[in-house]
Amino acid sequence: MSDNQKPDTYILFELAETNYAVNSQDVQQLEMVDEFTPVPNAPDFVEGVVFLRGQVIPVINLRARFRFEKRPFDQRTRLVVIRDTERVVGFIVDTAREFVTIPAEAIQLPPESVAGMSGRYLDGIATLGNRMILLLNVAEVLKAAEEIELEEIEIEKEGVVS
Amino acid sequence: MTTATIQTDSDFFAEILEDYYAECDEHLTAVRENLLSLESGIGQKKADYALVDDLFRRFHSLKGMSGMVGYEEVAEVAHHLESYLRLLRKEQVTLTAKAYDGLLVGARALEISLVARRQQQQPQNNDSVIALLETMGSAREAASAPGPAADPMALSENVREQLTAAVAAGQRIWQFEFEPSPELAAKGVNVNFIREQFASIGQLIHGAPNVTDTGGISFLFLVASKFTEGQVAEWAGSYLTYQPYETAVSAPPETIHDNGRAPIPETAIATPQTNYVRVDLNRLDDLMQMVGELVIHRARLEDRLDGLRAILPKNQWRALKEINQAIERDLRDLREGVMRTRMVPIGETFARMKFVVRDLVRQSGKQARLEISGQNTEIDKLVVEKMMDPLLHIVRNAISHGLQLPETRQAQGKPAQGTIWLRAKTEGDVVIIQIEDDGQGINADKVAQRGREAGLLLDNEPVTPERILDIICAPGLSTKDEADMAAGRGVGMNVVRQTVEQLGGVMRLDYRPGQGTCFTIELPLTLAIADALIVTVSGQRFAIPQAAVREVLEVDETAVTRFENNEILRHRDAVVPLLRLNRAFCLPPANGRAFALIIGNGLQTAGLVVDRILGLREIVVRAITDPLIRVPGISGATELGDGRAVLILDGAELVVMRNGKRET
Repeated sequence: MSDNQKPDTYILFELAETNYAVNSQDVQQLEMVDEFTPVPNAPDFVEGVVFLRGQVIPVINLRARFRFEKRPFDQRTRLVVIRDTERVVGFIVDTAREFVTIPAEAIQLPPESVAGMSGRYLDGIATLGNRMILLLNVAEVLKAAEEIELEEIEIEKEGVVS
Repeated sequence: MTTATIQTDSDFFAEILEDYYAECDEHLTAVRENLLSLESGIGQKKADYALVDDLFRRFHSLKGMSGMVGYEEVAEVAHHLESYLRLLRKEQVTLTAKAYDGLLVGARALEISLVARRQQQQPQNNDSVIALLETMGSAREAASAPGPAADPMALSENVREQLTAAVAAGQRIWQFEFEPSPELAAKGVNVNFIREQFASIGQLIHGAPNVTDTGGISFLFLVASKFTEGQVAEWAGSYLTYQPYETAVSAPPETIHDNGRAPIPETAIATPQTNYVRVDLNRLDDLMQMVGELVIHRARLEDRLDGLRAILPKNQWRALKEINQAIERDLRDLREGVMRTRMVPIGETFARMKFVVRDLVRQSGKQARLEISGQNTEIDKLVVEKMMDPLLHIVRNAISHGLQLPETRQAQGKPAQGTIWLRAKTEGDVVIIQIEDDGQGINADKVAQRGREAGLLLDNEPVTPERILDIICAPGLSTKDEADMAAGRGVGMNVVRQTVEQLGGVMRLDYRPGQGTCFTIELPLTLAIADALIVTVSGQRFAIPQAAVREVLEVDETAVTRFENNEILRHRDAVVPLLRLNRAFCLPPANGRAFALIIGNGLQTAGLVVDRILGLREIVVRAITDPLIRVPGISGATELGDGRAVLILDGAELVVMRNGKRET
């Protein structure tokens, strides 16, 4: 592993019966899900804000973000706190329990067929035993989160035109 | 006890009390320091005279001041402490370990009694402390001397110096007594009026409330004046009784004036010159509030300027814009400057830890010493106050859980006496506080195990100091029975961390098994603090800086006029456009009463409609930086002690939002 490469350790989480992984370097902490303070007029996938380590951070409902059906929080629900350069945001996921090592050779590039809109969120797909794991590209998810409103507006426009 | 009867003069009394508490604090700080230094004198034939003398004087002052404000339970303890130190000072007794403990107990009782008074709780019962103090030396004998504790004219040294100086300058001192009454008050003659009047005859040096023989309240004043007795009689009229006041009589018996001369006013001149002024924190807050208002005005100015861009010639517009930017920069500096005046050295907080360590060492059978560095590091007053309990907790933990028993330490090749280091320093915009001990460190495996059980640590996740810190700071988790007296008291590690984070700081942990533990706390040098109204909109709490709100009024729905999308409230001689926050924020409407917060001026006036006003709070303002949550009308967030984020409303922006809505 060279200096500028990320370690091969990942945090696994589950979202809508699918396994996802984020690089352990990008995860600041894991939290139980508590109450969030809703922010008026924020995008609908933003559940609200929460105070963490003295910072006000946005909480993104990843189910809503990926257009899965929302579901109520329970004991297993977790807040994965992600640090991406200067930004800190929280992702709500169905559950997160595992810390795993995924060797580089177990990771494949995402097939062309899932490219495009969702493909850009993935760094790759790994197979671990009989499990398939989607490697999330955190930076892209965050970047896209800001653009999403814009996208939605454009989609609406296109709909009108066609 | 007497406060209820003097309501008309409560302002004056409150003022006296403020000064009183501030002075007591100063004395107690010095007392604590001195007592610690005195410990080495236990069993010595001659205790350090300078120390004993200073302690004696301070207890004497505390007694006098407390008697003056009528806090007998404080005055009496101070009196007994003073009595014992008088004996010590004259070398009539030797300082024993038992007596030394008595002094500590007494000093602690003073502190507790003052806190109780300050928080307007029941006066502390100090009978047992006094009984203990009476057994020391032959204090009983000294106690029979008439103590000036009950004398409202017991004077602080400062006042005495002023009196001697006035006499030396050829003035006479007169004692006036004023008994307030409802009839006089109706004529505008109250104690503040009287105070002001003294300026016409001379200088008011001292004033104190007094309980009269009939149980009523009067006020005694000492005034230095060049007036003759006849002039004073004429001036005093019917409101005031007067008598000449002899300064020499009031001097404490210890003062040297044996050669028949009046004390020369040398002391007044020799007052040590310091560069410090004592300022009421409220005044600084007022200043801060004014700065806040300036910031809002400037923002409005900028809005206006932007509106003029198309109309004004380019170079003129740019010139105005530059001035505006200069004001913005200056305001930032001004704000910073005011914030810095709130800074106090952390040394006093550290000094208190010495006492904690001493107490705990005694209870636990462990041996420890405290090494302090960086006590001159300055930190915001509010931060110091809030950090007191958390620091205490960590220090207690260090002794209770960190340091091992002397035998164990020696068996491990360590000195029997453990060391706790308290360090502070400033680095850039951050104050760093470290609490380190050379104890057994943290049993990471054990903590990790508990973390795993609680689901705080993932399967296979490496155990890092950050994770360990997360686990020990998780609510409800502790690695050792915290039932022991020391650690069980006060706050847990989760509160420690919460406090640090509430102040915008971060915590770090370092430990080496068998070697020790080190907590590092980084806090911002200055805080963005504001007084804010806490309100609810559809059940959700919001904060709005008090400086932005001109008025709060209940919305009388019958006085609201609606047209198109607008609602206008008639108020006084003007109309105020309403902005219903639940609508602006897409929240469900709430039933029941509604209140309007009037913000802005002139055409920019608006009434923000909320459901309830919960109260006024001092909040620490946190910026919202993430683009996902930067929404119009919200300027930041704060936390009110329950860990939940509360959004801060941006008054100026909401007015713009309202106006924008009206135009469309």
